[in-house]
Amino acid sequence: MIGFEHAIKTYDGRRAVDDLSLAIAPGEFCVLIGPSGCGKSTTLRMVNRLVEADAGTIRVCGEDVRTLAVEALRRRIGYVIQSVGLFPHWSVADNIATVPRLLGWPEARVRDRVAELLDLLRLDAAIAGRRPHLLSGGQAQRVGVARALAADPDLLLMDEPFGALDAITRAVLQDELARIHKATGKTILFVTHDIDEALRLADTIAVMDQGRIVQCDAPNVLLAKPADPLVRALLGGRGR
Amino acid sequence: MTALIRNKVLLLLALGAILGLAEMGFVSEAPNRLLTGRAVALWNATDPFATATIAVALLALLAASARPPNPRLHRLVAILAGVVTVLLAGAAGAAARILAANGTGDERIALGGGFWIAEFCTVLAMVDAMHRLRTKPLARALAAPIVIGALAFLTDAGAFNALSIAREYMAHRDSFASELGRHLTLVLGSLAPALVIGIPLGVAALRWRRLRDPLFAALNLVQTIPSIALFALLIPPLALLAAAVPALAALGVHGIGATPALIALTLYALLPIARNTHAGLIGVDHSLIDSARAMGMSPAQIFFRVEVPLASPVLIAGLRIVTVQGIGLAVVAALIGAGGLGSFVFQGIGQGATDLVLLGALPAIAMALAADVALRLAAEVARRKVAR
Repeated sequence: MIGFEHAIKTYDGRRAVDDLSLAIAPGEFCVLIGPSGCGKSTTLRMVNRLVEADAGTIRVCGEDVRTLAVEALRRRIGYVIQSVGLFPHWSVADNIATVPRLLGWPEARVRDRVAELLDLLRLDAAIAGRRPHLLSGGQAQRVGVARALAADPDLLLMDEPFGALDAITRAVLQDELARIHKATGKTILFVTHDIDEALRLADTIAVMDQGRIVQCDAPNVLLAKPADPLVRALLGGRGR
Repeated sequence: MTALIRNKVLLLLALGAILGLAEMGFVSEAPNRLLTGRAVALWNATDPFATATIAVALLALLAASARPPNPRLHRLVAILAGVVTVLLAGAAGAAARILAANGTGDERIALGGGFWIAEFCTVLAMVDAMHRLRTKPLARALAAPIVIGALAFLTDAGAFNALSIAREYMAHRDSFASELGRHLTLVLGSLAPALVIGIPLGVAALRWRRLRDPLFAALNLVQTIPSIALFALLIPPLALLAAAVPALAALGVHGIGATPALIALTLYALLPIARNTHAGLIGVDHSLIDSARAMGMSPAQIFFRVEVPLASPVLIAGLRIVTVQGIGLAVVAALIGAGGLGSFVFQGIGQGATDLVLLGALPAIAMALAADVALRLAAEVARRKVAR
C-alpha cells in the first residue's frame, strides 16, 4: 500500500530521514515510534507530499507519489494531526465534509456521509451544526478522525493524534480507532512517541532513530527480541 | 472628600458641561452672516423651563459621579447623558427661533462655545457609561443611531431651521447633495483601487519575506507626506500627462480635479490595507493551513476558504481605518478642485463664515462616525464567526 524506497530528506545539512525503506501492506496498522526529532513525522508527511523527499521513491498503491497531482493525492489520503486543525469558522458537519466537497460530491451524498461518520465515531448528531470551539478535546479529535475518513480513503496518516488528550480520553479513542480499523480495513500509518499506544494499536512497529529505522517488527517480536539498546530502552522493561 | 468621588471621569465631564454652559455663550447672535457674534447664555437664550431641565439633568449626572458604581447607575447615566445630548440640541434650535423672532431677519444665530463643550461632555459621558457597562459592540452600535435618529427627527421637524448652519444649508441646498455624493464618490472611488492593489501587496509581503521591509518602508514614506503637499505634487505630472495624451484628458484626467485626489487617497489607503492584510494572514494558525493543505486544498482554496475568513476581522479593521481616514482626507481634496464636502469648508474659510465651514465639516464627521460604527460592527461579527 505504501512503499518507501531509500527515501532521504535533508534539512540544513542534517538528514532528518536517512535512506529509509519501508513497505506497508494493505490493511496494515503500522506505527512509527522514536524519540523527538528522529524523523517520524517527516517520514509520514512525505507520503502525502506535505514534505517532498530529496531522493528516493515513495509509492502509494504502487504509484510514485511524485507522478500524481498533489491535491488529488492528498484527497485520497486521510490525515489527522495532534492539534486536530478543525476550521474554526466552519460547523462540525462542514469540517467533516471538507474533502467530499473538494471532490465535488453531490450535497445529498455529503449529508448522508456526514451522518454516517458521526455515527461511526459515536458522536451525537446534535453537534453537527456546532462550531469546533464548543467541543471537548476528545470530541474535537473524533471529528478530526471523521474528517480524515470522510471521502473513504484507503489510507490514513495519523501524526500523534491523541498526544494532547488526557489519559482516559486517549484510551477511549485508541479503542475506537482499533474498532474502526477492524471494521473498515484501512491502511494506517501512525506516529507516536508513546510505546504503550504503539503496542496497543500496531500490527507492525517501526522504531526510528536519527532518520533510520532501527527495527521493524510485530509488537510481540519486538517485545521478545529487541534488536537494539534503543529499542530496549524504549520498551523500558516491558515484555521481560 | 475622595470617598465622595466615585467616578472621576463623570465628575469631570459633568463639571465641564456645567462650567461650559455657565461661562460661555450657548449660542451667538450676529447682526449678519459675516460679523462676529455676541455670546448669549443658555438662560438668556431659551425659556426658563428648558434651562431648568438641562440644569437638573446635568446636576443629576454630577450627583451620579458620587454614587457607588453599579450597572444600574451606569445604564441610568448613559440614558440621561444621551437625553441631555438631544435636549441641548433642541434647546439650541429653540433659542435660535426665539432670538430670530425678535430680530431683523438678517441676523445669524450660531451654536456657541458653551453648546459645543456641553455636547462634547455629554456624548463622552454616554460613551464612558456604556464602556463601564461593558455593553456588547452590537448594543454600542445601536446607541449611536438612537441619538442620531432623535437629532434627525428634530431636524426634519424644523427644530433647527433658525440656526445659521441651517440657513447656510438652505442657501447651498442645490449643491449640498451633489457635493455629498461627490465626497462619497471620492472615498469609495479610492477605496476600490486601494483594495485591489493593497491586498495583493500584503499577500506578497507575506509570501516573499524579503519584500516586506522595503515595501512597508515605501508605503510608510507615502503616509508621512502631508496631504496638501501630495495633492499639489500630483498636479504637474498629471497636467503634463493630460496634455501629452489627449485621450486621457478626454476621459477626465487633469492636473486638478478628481484624478489627483483619487490617486492621493488611494496612496494613503495602501499602507493600512497592505499592513492589515499582512498582519491578518500572518496571524492565521499555521496548523490550520497545514491541515487545509493535507486535505488537498489548492493554494487558492486555502487562501479564500481558510486564510481570508480567518483573517477577516483584521482585514475589516484595515478597511475601517482607511474609510474613516479617506472621509477626512477627501475634505482637503477640495483644495485642488476635486469638490466634495471640503468645498463648503474652504468657501467658508475664504468668506470667514464659520457656519459654512460647519456645513461641510459636520456631515463629514457624521459620515466618518457612521463608517466607523458600521465597520466595527462588521469586524465584531467576523470575529465571532472565527472564534476558537
